[in-house]
Amino acid sequence: MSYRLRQLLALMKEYPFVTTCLIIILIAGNLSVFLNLENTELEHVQNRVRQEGAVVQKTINASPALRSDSQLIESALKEIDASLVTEDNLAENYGYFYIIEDQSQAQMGELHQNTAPPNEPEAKYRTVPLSLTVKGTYSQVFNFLHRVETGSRLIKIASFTMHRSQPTGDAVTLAMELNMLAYP
Amino acid sequence: MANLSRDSHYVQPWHFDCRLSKELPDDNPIRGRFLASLLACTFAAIALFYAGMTIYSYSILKKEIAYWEQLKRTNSTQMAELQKVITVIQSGARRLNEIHKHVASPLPVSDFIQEVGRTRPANLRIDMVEFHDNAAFIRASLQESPQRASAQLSQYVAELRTNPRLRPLFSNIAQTSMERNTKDGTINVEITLKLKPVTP
Repeated sequence: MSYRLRQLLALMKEYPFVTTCLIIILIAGNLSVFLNLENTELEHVQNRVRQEGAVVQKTINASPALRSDSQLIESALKEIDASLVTEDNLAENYGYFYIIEDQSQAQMGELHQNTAPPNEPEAKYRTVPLSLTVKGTYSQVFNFLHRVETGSRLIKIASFTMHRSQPTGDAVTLAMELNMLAYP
Repeated sequence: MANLSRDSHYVQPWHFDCRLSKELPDDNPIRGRFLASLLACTFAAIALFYAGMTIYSYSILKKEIAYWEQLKRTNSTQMAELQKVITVIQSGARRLNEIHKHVASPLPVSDFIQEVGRTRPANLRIDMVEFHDNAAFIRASLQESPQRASAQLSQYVAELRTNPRLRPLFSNIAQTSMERNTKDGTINVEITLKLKPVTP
């Protein structure tokens, strides 16, 4: 046994209380350092798990609203899909406006389906451009316009001009550029 | 100094000092042992307290992690089902946004024409209503003297600006032209209504 060790043992025997305290300090210090490292790691885990848990709680609380929103969106999309036109089906595309012409009693002049712009990649919809002119009394033309806007097909009026057909009288002419929502 | 020398006999012991000071045990080691024990005890207490606090926070963290993990586990089936619902909503929303981009009309045309017709002054004859490039144009004629026509038009434009149906649609409503028609003496005017940008 070396001299220094013997000296240390002698000191330990002489100061048993201090020795015990030093051992406690050593054990507690090591334990604290080890647990502090563990705690730092656990804090990261806790933050992640808490955030995930909060998302779970929020999602579950909002589940009735989510379900009703999903149903609403699905039914709206079904309705929209039913109203889509096909660019190639010219007869049906024109026929829609002839039906409105009959209903409104306005007289349709020109009706042209123009060349559609190229499809965007991954696009689920496209638009088919049309141009048309309608003549009739103000109420007939207005009726036609209203039916086009609120009818079963989804149509955007890109531009229009409504003017008097003659300087006097009730007759008006409406020229419109339309975009109909279509399958890609 | 004078006082010290005068009272010095009072400070001296009243009896002979018989202590053998050199033979008495030294009290320094006892003081040192006590101080060392006190210091060691204090540091041990601090170390124990700190270790205790660390163990406490470790257990709290463990408990909290277990709570959130348990919450996730118990709701995992419902969450998987809701995740599908969310996916449906997200893809639906993307499709609706695309539809909106294609067909959302910045101007409800029939409402606009109806509102223009409803609010026009009785002597204002609307010749043309036009809409292109995010702006609507009303071209009309007025059978009035230029002064009265000017006053009446200013009032009409002000009314259009405050109209509750038109105000939300247009960012700017202004009279952009006023000319006298030499043939029939009417005043031809143009009112321009600039649309606000459409947001989904």
